[in-house]
Amino acid sequence: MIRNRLTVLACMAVIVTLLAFAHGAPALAQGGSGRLVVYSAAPLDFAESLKRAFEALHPGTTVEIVNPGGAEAIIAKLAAERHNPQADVFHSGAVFEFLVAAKMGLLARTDPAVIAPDLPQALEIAGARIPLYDEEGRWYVWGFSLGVIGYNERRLEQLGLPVPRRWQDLADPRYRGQIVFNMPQQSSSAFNTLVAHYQMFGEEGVWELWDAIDRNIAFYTPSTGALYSLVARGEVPISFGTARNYYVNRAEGHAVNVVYPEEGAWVFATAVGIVEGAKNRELAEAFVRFVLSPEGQVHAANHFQNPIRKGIQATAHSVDLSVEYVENTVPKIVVVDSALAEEIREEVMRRFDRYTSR
Amino acid sequence: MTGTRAAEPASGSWLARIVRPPDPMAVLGLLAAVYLAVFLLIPLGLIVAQSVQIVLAGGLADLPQFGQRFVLLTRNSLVLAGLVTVIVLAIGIPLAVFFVKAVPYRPLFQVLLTIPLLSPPFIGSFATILLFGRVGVITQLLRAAGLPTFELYGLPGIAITHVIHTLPLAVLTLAAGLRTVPRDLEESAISLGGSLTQVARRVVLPYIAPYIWMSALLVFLASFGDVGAPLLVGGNYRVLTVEAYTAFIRFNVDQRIPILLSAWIVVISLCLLYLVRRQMKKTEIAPAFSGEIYTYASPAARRVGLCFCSLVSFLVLLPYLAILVASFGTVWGAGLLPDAFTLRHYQALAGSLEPLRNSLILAGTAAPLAVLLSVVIGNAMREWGRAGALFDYVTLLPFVVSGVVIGIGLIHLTGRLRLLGLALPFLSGPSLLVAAYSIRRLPYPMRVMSAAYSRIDRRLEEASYSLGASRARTFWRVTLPQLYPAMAAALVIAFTRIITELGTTLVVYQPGWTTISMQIFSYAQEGLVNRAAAISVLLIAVVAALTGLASYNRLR
Repeated sequence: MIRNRLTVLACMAVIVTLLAFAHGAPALAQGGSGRLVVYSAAPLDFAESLKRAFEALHPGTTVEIVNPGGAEAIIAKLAAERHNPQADVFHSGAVFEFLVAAKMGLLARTDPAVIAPDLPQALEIAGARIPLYDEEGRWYVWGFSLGVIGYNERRLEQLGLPVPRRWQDLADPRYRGQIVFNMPQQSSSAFNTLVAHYQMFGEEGVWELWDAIDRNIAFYTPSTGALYSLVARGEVPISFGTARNYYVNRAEGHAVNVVYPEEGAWVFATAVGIVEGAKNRELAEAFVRFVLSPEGQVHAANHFQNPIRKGIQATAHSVDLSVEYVENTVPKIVVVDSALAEEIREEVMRRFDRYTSR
Repeated sequence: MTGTRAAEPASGSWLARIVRPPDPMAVLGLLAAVYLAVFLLIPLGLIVAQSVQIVLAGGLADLPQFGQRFVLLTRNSLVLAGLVTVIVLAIGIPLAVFFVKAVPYRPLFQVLLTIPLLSPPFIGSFATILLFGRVGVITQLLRAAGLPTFELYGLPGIAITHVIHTLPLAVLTLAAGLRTVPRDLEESAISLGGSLTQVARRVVLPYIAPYIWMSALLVFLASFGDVGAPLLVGGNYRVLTVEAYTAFIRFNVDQRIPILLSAWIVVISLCLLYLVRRQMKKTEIAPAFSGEIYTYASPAARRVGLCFCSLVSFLVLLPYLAILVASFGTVWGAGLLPDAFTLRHYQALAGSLEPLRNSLILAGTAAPLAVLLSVVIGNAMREWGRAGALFDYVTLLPFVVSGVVIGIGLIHLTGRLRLLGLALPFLSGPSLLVAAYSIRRLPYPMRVMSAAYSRIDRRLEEASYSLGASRARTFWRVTLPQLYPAMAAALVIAFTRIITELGTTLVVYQPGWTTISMQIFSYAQEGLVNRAAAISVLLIAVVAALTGLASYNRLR
């Protein structure tokens, strides 16, 4: 009897294996009328809502959204597949990452007049000028989030600490052990925070500030997610990251809020681009146009990305992320200078290696 | 593990025996060897070779901070693993003794102590944050009572998580050892005037020394190779595995770093394996399998046993209780309980069951593959003499080496093969994951099958040969049926270990094939602890149900 059971199990295993192979087999019929492959670093629920909306607008198409593990993993994958591109669209990554992908020749050139005829070349907002597309149309910005200070209101109140309003407030020794940060050596958003600070405070000022902040840091975490999870729970009351993630936690009911520091909040612009050699170019262009359209922008706002089009309000929650609101409430926005970033990269790495190896 | 050779006319070397006439079992054995080579030895070898290349090319001079960090990382990893091992043995040895010899309701404790094994190890981390974090439940209670509290993030947090997860592993191994101690041995010692504790210390423990060494090795390597707990709750405490993993996934980090770190992890693990196995051989006493063991019948002993087992079980299961509560709660901020209770996390779960489906498919494919491999390799080990002994070492490798490193090796191998234009279908997609899992968790079914093979009655096989049956027919008709119960047990163990794996999965991740452990991990990392908790409860329930089903079938 056991023998029969084992035979049955063995047969099931074989069937399951075949199913697994069939399901996971690389796309053979790509390039047909209706299949679009998108590599996206966006959170799963956002990606799903985009997929459903686009498929509804273009009946007969299937969108496969794949997240290989973040924008860096996407670039690595695109480079590995360069001679036989599997994806049509690269969606959701920082502009900095799109610049790298463009330099590596992984992005196709398009005509902005065709893809984004009604968008300006740049968005002027809160004293900053955010380029909305590359002149050769290799990437288009569809949303942004701001690098802010996030905090847990309840915990700060418990500890009797004031809410920090400026970056320089974080040097206050009262915050000792109450701040968590990730590592610029590994995280591009952490690195961008440093570059933005450099732009705000200058070469001397930034290290004076950071020597003081370093003393207040509870620990440097290798996990970017911890920046948000620890603050959400109140374990460590303060961290710096992108506003989007704090809003997500706030919507879950955590006592989390953000501060747009007076000296400036740096802007994290997210882009989309068509992969060089994409098998379904036409559908890819339609997808990019969709992401930039008012409907696509509402999806972005619903998932806590600031839209780049004026007059967009989220329909899924009550947080106002519109361009107009940002213009009226955020004191200053800083656009990270990528040339400067390259210049100071080594110094930042060196200093942080020192900070993080205590 | 070299059993006695079957009574057959020796016909020269093992190679000669394979070349003519073709013996199906030998062919399968060769295939298994090739499989191991492709998915284990070559990837690891690649890493070691690449790192040697880097060092010879003066790479170390290029990475100036590396040397310092390197020493720190090694020290941290070894200290952590050492600490965890010492604690686990200190608790585990008495626990195992009580568990085997002096506890009422043993099946209950068996179930309770197995629960941590049914879940991915890092679940313990975010549960310990719920309990011992800065605003954790226990921390708040301690603070309210005016007692001292401790900072969880760092060595304490990782150690607590690892102790909880590896204690059952150690206890099960030690219990298996304790069951081989012949009754008369202890009885005579006691009749000579020794007290129970004296006899336990001076007679029983030395007798099971190989099992103690084995438990120590298992616990040490499990702690040394883990990546989930240090990532979630490690604070500033840097360990080798996390550095290798985070360096690997960031393309803007010099890729020589994860290679060097991975190679170093392999070297340390191999040295440990060699040293411990030498120690095990030195302390080995020929197991006289008596069947009956000595139990402590006195009520006092049983009371102590019950108290101790209950206390340890409670402490070990407390984090899981916290997870259960969290799964039904809303925000669990600065209070002893969540703000409110809700079913919405489970409702949300109903809408995203794809990772569970993926995990079931992957584990359902990889587990039988692993068991099949162990059956074939187990047979090869007892038939192939010296070459078979090599298998013994190789099949322990995946346990010894961290999952992250195996993953990195596989990715490098597939990358190289693609460069050579060999984009073979089984080297990508879910097949790669299945192969990786079957290798990574091979040691578990392997151990079960080795034990089973050692209990095979050779005389039946000899009788079969003398009646004219070929080797293949004998294996199929005589040997295999004797192995079926063990194969069923091996299948269950392989399945549970595979479905809870994280390290290799994070590295070898295939798009569209998110596993349930990855899902839990990403939610835990993003701070959506309640959702992570709900999925964890689901995973534990599913695995417990499948395990229970399998045991029930076996008992019938």
